[in-house]
Amino acid sequence: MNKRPAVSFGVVIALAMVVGGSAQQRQGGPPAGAQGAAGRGRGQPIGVPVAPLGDGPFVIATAEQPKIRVVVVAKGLSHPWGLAFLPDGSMLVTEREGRLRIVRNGVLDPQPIAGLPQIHARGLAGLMDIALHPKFADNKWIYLAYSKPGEKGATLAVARGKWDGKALTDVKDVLVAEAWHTGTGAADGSFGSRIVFGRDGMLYVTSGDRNLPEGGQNPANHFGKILRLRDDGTVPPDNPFVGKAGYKPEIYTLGHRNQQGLFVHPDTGALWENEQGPNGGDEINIILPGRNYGWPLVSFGRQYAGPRQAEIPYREGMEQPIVFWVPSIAVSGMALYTGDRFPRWKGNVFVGGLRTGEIPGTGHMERIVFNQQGEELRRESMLTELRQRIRDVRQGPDGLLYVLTEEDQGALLRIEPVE
Amino acid sequence: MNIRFTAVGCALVIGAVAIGAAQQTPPAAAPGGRGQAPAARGGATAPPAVQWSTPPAPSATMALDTGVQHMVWVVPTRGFTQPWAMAFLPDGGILVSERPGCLRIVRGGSLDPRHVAGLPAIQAAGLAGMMDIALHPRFAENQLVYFTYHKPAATTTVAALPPTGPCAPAQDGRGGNAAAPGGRGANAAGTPAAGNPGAVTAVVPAGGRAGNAPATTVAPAGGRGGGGGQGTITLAHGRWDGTALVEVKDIFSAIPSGNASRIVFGKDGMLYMTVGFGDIPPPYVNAAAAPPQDPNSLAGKVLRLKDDGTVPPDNPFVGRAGYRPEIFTMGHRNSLGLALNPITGEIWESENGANGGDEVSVLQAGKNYGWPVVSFGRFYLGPKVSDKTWQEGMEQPTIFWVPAIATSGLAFYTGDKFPNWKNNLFAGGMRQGEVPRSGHLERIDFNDKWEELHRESMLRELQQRIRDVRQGPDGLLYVLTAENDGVLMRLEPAPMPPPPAPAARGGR
Repeated sequence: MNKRPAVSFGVVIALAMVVGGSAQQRQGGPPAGAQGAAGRGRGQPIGVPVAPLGDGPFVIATAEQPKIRVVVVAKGLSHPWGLAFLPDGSMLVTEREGRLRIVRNGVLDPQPIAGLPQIHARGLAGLMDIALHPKFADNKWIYLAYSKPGEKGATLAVARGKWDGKALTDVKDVLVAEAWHTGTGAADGSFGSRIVFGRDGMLYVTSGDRNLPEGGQNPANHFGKILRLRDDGTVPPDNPFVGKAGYKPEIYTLGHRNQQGLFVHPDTGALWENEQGPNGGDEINIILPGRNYGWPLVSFGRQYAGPRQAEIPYREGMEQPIVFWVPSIAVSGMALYTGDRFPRWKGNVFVGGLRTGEIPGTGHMERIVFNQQGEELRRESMLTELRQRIRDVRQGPDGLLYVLTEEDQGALLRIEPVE
Repeated sequence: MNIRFTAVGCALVIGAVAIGAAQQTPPAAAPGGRGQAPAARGGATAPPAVQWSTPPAPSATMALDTGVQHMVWVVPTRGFTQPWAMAFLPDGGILVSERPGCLRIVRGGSLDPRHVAGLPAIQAAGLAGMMDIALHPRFAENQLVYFTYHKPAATTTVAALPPTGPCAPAQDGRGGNAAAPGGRGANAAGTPAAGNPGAVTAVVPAGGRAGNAPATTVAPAGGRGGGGGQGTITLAHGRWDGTALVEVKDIFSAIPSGNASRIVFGKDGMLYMTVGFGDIPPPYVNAAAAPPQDPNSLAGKVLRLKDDGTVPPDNPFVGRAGYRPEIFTMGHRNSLGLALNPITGEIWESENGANGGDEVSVLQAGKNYGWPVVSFGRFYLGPKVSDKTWQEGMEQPTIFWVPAIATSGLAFYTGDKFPNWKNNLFAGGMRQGEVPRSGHLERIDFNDKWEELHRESMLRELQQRIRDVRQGPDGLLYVLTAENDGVLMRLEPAPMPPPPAPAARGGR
């Protein structure tokens, strides 16, 4: 057996076996014993079992870079979800179970950061995204999106606290969304919960539909919306629905499902969002104030049981995505690459994926190339060989890409060029 | 060869396999594109291709884990050049067409180096050449083999192919293993040779039995659409005499085209035939007037014919002025898959969108499937094909892909060897998202209303372009790769216990 721990050239893979010689030497059907595999019934778990992530680094061939090295910066993270880079070079990583971790000088501190609010960590709910205030250097504010427990069940909340170098202090909520839900199961998913500061200094918050799809079209609550807030959580007076009867004034856009990716385009300042459709219909949208993105009335996807979500995937007055996926890849974190370390990736959008086509073990990252008009040219599936659920992808201040794998034994990965 | 292997992501590492994905052969000059011959593509309709050539085909049996069937053996037979389609003879032989203009036979897992004699002159260029093959439903009685191909014009002379060995004209020096450009549909074999960009590579009939190919010459094609032009998509049949096709004759002539043609016999005994449509450079000024929407054109249509090539009187447009009576359905692009759903008796068709918008449609007589008026895809340069993904009076696909996978052959699995795949649909893919080395096979399962539930990507590890997939009479699955270093792969259940079920994993 000739097995080595490095992925040498990417995509090939391994689990293969040379069964003595050429095909011509084996004739006839497989020997007895095949019935073991043949006898498996349906209804059992699908997907190929996933081996734990190795220690790396992994050198992988890609289409245009062409070779990358994937370094495992930290392992043993529990469902890491969001990532922020501190000016001193360290990285803050959220864990969905409700812990905030720090990686200093490439080493994960075993001690979680103190000072977090009480968090509803159940199912896919818990501690989610993290962002620094645009003037973090002056004010030390760190923002956290999380699932907040309460008498009415759980809702999305955003808290902020001051970073004192070791812990968060003065932590308090700046948003408690009007999206309370007492349900369990599906209601513990689809929280959205990405946050980003716009060029206008406003905080944009994605609030998922909690699998109550009718919420996305109801302007009187925060289900399935993107919200726009001042840094203290108050409503900016120029929000699109301020003063409009029946509308929550925090609403910036409507008609979303589960928005997992959000960034500000460095050239245009536009807000780019992605969201998970059901089976099919994952989307990237450019977010414009007051617009309706259609969920659940229009979608390119199918309900998990099979029927189309919408017989007609188009409706006047509802926005079409600029990129979409059929089948779904369960899109998650998203970043636009602007660095110099991967010159051929400049301007590309990177998107995490948790699973493709409803098959477990198919998480990966996609790289999307656009033309000068912002129209898609191609999409490359990357890191497929790692077979990890990818929850977040960010560009670091060093111009490298950082990726979180959302697994029980999750990891923080750094992608470097092989030069 | 210094190849290393990884354990990452592999449940069962049994050993090593020499697929050598590492090799990055410098690609040929032609830019890659999909669905169009290089001559029709140029810089105007597609961005520069990513150059990343396909690694060698697997040369030895390998075991791969798969989603619900688990360990599967992939048994390769190498030696093909752009193999395109398969047909299974009752005696166990497998006929394999090769796009440059050959018909081959595999017996007992071995490719016969001698070509099957009897093919007519075939004009192979770009995506065109020898296409699909199918046996008559009563083959046991009449021994009729049907095939589609691009027939050269009378004024076009074509190159001879050798009677044995790789299916490539000897004089162009490329052989069967020339480096392929990164293209999705167009590969080197059958495309104009470097330095002679106008050449058409085609074949003149072998004149009966093997070994008697007359000398021919390569003729200039005169650029796009001119001179030799495109061959005419033609349906022919011949009688299988045990070693060759005899009494070969054309029974239906469609249109000159650089695109594909699949055929399948329906439960009604009729022959369904796709006629691909080559894109007009965007933008479409009037999409509704494009040939696939023109009922008086055979471009972008699925035809329904009797087994003698004539029109059945119950075709949907028979007797309707301005409509070709052969048309069964309209509004298609480049249909590379056609399969009979054995449960419902429907014909399922797959076609390539452009960048995005590959589709599987369930064909209903007289319906319009929308291309290019409605589409989920984009042109290769970026703009949407249409602002409309839906229009009254046009059918929605049952399954579609965004990004495109360059969907090719299509097959329903009905056998007993893979019980967990029963009634699943398999679709070949040549390239996903316009990026090379992303060809694979997709498995789609359904609920009891034929609404899809899951899609599994298979064989992705091989990084080969998949051209065709069929179920053999032995209940195994057979796959062809669309490569110059082409391979026939037989999938069979591996003789080992299944791995443990994966741990329950979180949702989205």
